[in-house]
Amino acid sequence: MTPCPQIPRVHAFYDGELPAEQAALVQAHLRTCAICSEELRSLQNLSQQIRDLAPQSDTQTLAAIRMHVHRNLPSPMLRTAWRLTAAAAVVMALCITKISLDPNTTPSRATPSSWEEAATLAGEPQLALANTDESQQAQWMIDELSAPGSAAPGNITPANALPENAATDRRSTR
Amino acid sequence: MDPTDRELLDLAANGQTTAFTTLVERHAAHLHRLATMMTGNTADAQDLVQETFLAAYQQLRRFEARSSVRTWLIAILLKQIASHHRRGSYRRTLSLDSPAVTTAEPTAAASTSQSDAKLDLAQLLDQLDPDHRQVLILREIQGLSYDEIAQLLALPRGTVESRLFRARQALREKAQQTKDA
Repeated sequence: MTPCPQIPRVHAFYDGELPAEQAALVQAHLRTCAICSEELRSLQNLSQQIRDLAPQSDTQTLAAIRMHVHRNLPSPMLRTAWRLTAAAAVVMALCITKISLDPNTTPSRATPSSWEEAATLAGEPQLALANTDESQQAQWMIDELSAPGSAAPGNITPANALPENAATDRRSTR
Repeated sequence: MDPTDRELLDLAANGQTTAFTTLVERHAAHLHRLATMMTGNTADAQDLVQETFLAAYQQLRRFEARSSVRTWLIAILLKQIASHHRRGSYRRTLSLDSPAVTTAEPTAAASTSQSDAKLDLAQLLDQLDPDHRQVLILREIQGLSYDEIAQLLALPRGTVESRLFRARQALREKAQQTKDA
């Protein structure tokens, strides 16, 4: 027998899942379609068999469940303690997150470290320049030496600026 | 008038353990029935239902009323069952003669052939794809709607409908094969 294309709708109809309008259409179809009528009967039988299979729990088991749950329920005081502990944990987590994200407490990669600044200000260019490549250093020197009233590399603060002839001396020593 | 499940839940959330005990009395039977069908073992079912209620008690304030209390409890039970299966403590030994279980029909009316048929169906149900078995049990035993099942299993309603359709077809085919054999 060729299955009727309406069979899936018969299942939805049987489960009471169709809107009234569609349910009426399926009902009308059932009056004329032997295949779908048989399908509906088969569904009813199957459901009944499955429901019969399902056990009814006995009172002893249900009483045991009730007793076990009742015995193991935490007291209201304990629940309050749980809530307070949970709240404290949340507050602590928030504090840790805030501290770890605060720019005032976290060293930034963009700003030079204190030892670098100190080395630069103390006039030790070799420390400040330790991590720059040679071509960059040469370019700095050319720029600074060619600029009028320039300072020697490394002496970047006005207080440590070299006298003008210092630049001339360097050029002549090359 | 008896308080609704929702009212009992609110009372329990405010510390009234007796309200929670009433909820246990209301829902223990259908949850135990479902757990027995899903695990095939009444002792496991009892443990799972107990764990379900204790887990529910700890989550009282998380209930968002998007579903009924009954569906919410079933959702917790399904999680417990899934975790039970993952732990491998799965003992499928469904016996209709178990002392913790009485069948829906009185035993006097159940002939040997009827008992055999029930056991056959239980075995066939057990052979189904677990996803198919799950929707079939939720629909036929718990009487849940497509929407409720969809919400419980986080599936589209259409998937529930087609899965249920295929589950029924598969069960009937298996029954037919057994008969033919």
